[in-house]
Amino acid sequence: MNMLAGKWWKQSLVGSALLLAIVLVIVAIVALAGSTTDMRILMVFLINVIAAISLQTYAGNSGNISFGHVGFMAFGAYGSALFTADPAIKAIGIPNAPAFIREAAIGFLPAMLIGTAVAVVVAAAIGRVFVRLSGAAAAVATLGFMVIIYTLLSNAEELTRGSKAFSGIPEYTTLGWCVALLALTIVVARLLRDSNTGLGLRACADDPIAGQAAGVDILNSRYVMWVASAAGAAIAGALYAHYIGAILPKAFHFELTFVLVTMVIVGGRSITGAVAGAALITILAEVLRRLENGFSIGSINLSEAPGLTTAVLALLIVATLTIRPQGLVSRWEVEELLHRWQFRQKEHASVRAEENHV
Amino acid sequence: MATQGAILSIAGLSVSYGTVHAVRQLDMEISEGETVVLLGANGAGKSSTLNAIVGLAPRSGGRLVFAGEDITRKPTEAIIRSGLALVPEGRRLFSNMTVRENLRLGAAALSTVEFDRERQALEDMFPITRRRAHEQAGLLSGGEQQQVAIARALLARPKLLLLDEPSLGLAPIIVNTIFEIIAELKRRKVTILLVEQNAERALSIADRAYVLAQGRLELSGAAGSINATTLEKAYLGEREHA
Repeated sequence: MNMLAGKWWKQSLVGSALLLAIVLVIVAIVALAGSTTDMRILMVFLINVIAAISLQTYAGNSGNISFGHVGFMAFGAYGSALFTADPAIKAIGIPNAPAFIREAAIGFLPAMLIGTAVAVVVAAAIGRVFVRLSGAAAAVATLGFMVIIYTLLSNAEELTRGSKAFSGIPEYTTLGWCVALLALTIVVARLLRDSNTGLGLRACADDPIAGQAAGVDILNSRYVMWVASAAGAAIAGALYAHYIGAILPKAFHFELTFVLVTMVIVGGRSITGAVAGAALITILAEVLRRLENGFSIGSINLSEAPGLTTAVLALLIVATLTIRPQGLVSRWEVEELLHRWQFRQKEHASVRAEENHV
Repeated sequence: MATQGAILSIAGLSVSYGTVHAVRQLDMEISEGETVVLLGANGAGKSSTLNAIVGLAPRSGGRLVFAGEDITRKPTEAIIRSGLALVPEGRRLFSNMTVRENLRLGAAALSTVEFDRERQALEDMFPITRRRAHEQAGLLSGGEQQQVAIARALLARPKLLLLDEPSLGLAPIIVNTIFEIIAELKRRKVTILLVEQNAERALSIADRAYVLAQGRLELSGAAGSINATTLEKAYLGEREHA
């Protein structure tokens, strides 16, 4: 049966299910055979996948990279953290915060929704400017946004404790929350990507003139993706805050931006690409982190190699952009990759049959 | 001064790229159900005219009325959604996308149900769009791509179809197929504005013709009234003073 036949949204759902199944296999393997450390890595991986898919919802569809999405993660993280942390801790940490924040102690889901709503409002307010930009201008503008948010958070001492860590955040984030929200993110991202809006936007990224000639409204389509991706990033930020239990502005700065952008660039332009990129980078970062504590190649001994991870990630971006600029899976989603593979197998089989015949 | 039944009327259209004037003071009118051909030598301003109609080329003057609505200042996507469809020169399919996805791009204004209905109707006319629906459009031959491009433009049931050099760069036998398709569209009463280099073939299919030279209208009239001699004069910019 050809799974690519039929309606576009059916294909989106089939693709989402396949992708989620692959992630669940990874989760099951780590949960059954992994150590406590492996479980921690898995949790961070799942949160990063949500963030990467969200970034991809904007970048992959519009063709514009964004360095600003960690800013939206920060809104989700601080928004959710401020409303859930123990009032007794807040009375000491942020005594000058408004009473409705200082005294609030609401549940995970409503707090997460508040953080997400803040991110959505900010994204909607600034989005009209950002969607008009393309290429380098868009990249630099989003970078500026990230720096602005970082500076704001570092200086809003009454709310965030400035550059000091905001701790005492209840550790609500469980494996169940991560998997459930990842499933939601995948489905929504796939539906957005495959919808007429997403398709038109991807077409414009390939050829703006032909896209417009086909009647695509670039600005509005970008705007939809921009706001939706901000919401996803905020959810990832909230999960992160409630997993680590303490956040500081520096957590949402260049380093995380760099990791997320690498995931998206190395993975490819699809949602499947974001997941593949996140998996690859997580594994690589973990291996490198262990090497940073010292290793030896033959007779060369390196006692410590701080910054190795960042250096290798940077090399990986350069290598990807030169050798395989379309990324690991290019523009394909998991069900399309399967379909292409089956198609090729069939072609090989028929070629072989012909050869045998001759 | 739009005539009764005119689906598109162009008055005093000018297109300039900086100091280069591609089209000067062009007046043109297309009635419903007509097939009109726009002829001219290379650089005469034919493609600029088509692009200016849908707002893709910079209009420096003039007024465009389409289906009773002033579209002079509308953005491209709004013009396309109001019922104009352009098959751009060089086909301009999205080569990384599948044939089916390319078709969906022509149907932004349709619901999923409408899309499926229109698509199935078009698949009978353009079998290639069914046979190779899930292949990358870039892997198709030039003639096949042109068929997909025309099918994409027809999906939204446009009130006026703009075809920019559909036979350009295609093998003679494929050119025949493309002209057969245009003839079939004409039989189905699709209103067409065709830009063509192949003047003889275009005139044989069209009801009326406009001839441009250096951005100016040199000649217009019933397709049958234009022959090789008048055309040659017009191409050379010798205005007909009849």
